[in-house]
Formats: sequence, C-alpha cells, structure tokens
Amino acid sequence: MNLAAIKQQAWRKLDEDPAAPVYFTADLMLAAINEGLNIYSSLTLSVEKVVSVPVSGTFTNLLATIPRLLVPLKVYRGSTRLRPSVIDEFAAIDPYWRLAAGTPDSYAMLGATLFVVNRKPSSPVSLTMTYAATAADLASDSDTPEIPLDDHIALVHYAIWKLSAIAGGGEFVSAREHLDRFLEIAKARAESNRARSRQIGLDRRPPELKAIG
Amino acid sequence: MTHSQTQAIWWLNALNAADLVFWTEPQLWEYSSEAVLALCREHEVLPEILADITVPPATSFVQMDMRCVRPLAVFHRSVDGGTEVIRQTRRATMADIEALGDTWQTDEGNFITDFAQWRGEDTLAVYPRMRTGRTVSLQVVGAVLPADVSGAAATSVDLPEALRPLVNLATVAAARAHEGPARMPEVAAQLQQAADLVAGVLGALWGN
Repeated sequence: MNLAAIKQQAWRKLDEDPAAPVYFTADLMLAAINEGLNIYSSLTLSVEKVVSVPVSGTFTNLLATIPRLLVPLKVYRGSTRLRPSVIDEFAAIDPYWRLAAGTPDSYAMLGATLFVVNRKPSSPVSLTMTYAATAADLASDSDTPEIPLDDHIALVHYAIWKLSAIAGGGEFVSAREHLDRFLEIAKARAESNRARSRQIGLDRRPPELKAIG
Repeated sequence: MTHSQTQAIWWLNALNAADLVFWTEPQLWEYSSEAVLALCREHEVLPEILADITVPPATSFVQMDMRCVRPLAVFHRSVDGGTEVIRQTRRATMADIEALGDTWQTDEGNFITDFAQWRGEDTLAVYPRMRTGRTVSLQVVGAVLPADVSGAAATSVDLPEALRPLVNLATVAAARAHEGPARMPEVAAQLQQAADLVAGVLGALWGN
C-alpha cells in the first residue's frame, strides 16, 4: 500500500470521506501514520540500512551522522566482521586498550549513539555498518512504507487509535482494539525477525515485548 | 530530531499555540522534557564523553558533571615521562572498595584502578588515591540527561529520531492528565501506556 491507500482505509474506518475529510485532516492523518511507522520500526527492527562509518579514534558519536539509528546489526571492516562486545570486556583484555593502536576487531555501543571500537586505528578506517533504522517518514501519496507489505495494515490501525484520542470518551476506549491489533502485528513481525536474526547471525534482535510488559 | 509542539497541539484540539485554551506551550515543553529526562534517567540511553576531572593528590572522592546519571566507563588519564596514559578503571560498588581494607582512603598509588558511585549520583569514590605531588585526570563516559529539552524556545533537540513518538505521546498524555475542564483520564492513561511501551523498547535496545 502507498500512503494514499493507507490514509483512505483509515479515513473510511473513521467514517470520514477520504476525498474531503473534515474532522481528521490530512495533516493529522499523516502525523499519526508516521508515528505508527516510527514505533513499528523500534518494535520490530524491520528496517535495515547500510552506511559507511568513518572511524579515526576509539569513540565515534553516531547521532549526527545516523539520526535514525536504532542498533547496529553487523559491522564489517572490508570483508572482516567485527565482533559485538561490551566496553568492560575491552578493559578486561587490556586496561590500556584506548591507546592500543591497531586494527579494530570488536565493537560496542554505549547508549543509543556512542560507537566504540577496541583499538585505535593508526589511520582512519571506514567500516560498513548494517543497522536497524527508524523508517523514513512518508510525505507524498505515492510513498510506500519501508516495512513489509503484509504489515502496512498495522499503520491503518495505529492511525485510527491515535486519531480517536482527539475526541476521547467512549469512541477512544473502543478504539483500543486498533492499538491492540497494531501491537499484535508488530509482535508477530518481531518474533519472525528474532528467528531470522538468529538464523543469519545478526548482532541484535528485536526486544521481547513480554519482557517489557 | 527537531521537535516542535505542533503535533501535540493538534492532538489537544488546537490549531497552534495561540489556539491552546487549557494549556500553554511552555507547559507542553515541560511535559516533553519530563518524558525525555525520565527515559534518559531510567534507561541511560544518552552517552557523552564528559570533560576531564582533575584528581589532585590525596583525593578519594571526586564530583562528576551534574548531568551524569551513571558513569558507563571511567578512565585514568595522565602523562608520564612524556607519554600519554589512558587506563580504564574497574567498576565497583562502595562495598567492594571498602572491602579493600580499612585503609582504602589512604592507600596511595600511581594509577586509579577502581571507581564506585558514592552516595547518590554525582560523586565517585576512586581507589587508590594519588601519591603526594601527582595530579591526574579522570575521564568519565557517562549516561547524561540532555541539557536542552526545556523552555518554550527549544525547538531543536539533539536526540535520536526514534524518541519522537515517545515525546509526542507522553506530552499529550500529561496534558490530558492535567486537572481542569480538558482533562481526559482515559486518553491520558492509554497514551501514557503507549509511551511507556516505547520507552521500554528503546531502553531494551539502548540501555546498559
């Protein structure tokens, strides 16, 4: 489905005329769909992108270069894959690791944005990172969400739930079923992505929603 | 991400900030700020390499940047014989450090090897203390609270894009929970639940 089709479905279910919506305007609809898309991306890690990351020291802040980064899925230096690790492991091997010049073979993430490699490259290196990203916002009617086609309907459900929040009351309470449906679709995709991730050996998997609550 | 209150305002049945009847835009910024601060405090998602802390001789406690909620890694830094030394220190608890012996506060050495967060969040106990005449530095890579998510003037927040839904949901939830004629407890509860779910997911992805 493209954006136009998603909007039309949501409007129809909200008893609005898609050709001339009155209460739920096009701006509101677009905002709700993009919010659903953003949340779906975090829940499922379905959107994968590849970027070249220049690294000249042990720490690299990725916020400015990859603002849509969720987590790295695999990192390569040329054809050699870097092993995911944690910073305390670097120190357990060598407490002076920050100044150990050489070719990095492990990486760690601190928080959302700080990418760390276990050796300081003697000259800047370019790493190839495949990462899970927040899907790009939809803007024009012909845009198609960067998520599996089967799950586009989830965006319709999210938009209906979120737009019903404007009115509140009984209408919003009964719209809860649409949020539940959105989450069911996302959970199913997350589960299938966890299995796929294990199979192909990605460094991170979507979180278990049961564990989160 | 560049955040504005435009969407929150729409979800509060207003066209723009001037059209808000029951809230003010600064109030909405406060709600947004609280949501981001809570996420950063609980899940330690925003790391920063903080300015070095000078550690003079005979010092066992140092003050961290107030914005730091948890040190993620702490490095001893010194220049010895013209050579830069950066050594990662071990994370410990106060109980671990006190277990080093009754004299832990007076034990001296050339390198700080252990640290622990002491009494609250912004003080670090370090071990051993530096001998007379030796001043070194500590570099803390810490989970911080962002400095700029507050005030009506803030429109650009240096945060990952994935936080946008959390900020919008939590802002509208807080506004709808606010006592007054526009209170909608059912909306506040569901939106807050959704915001908590997003926070939990991002915490699981980014937290330590």
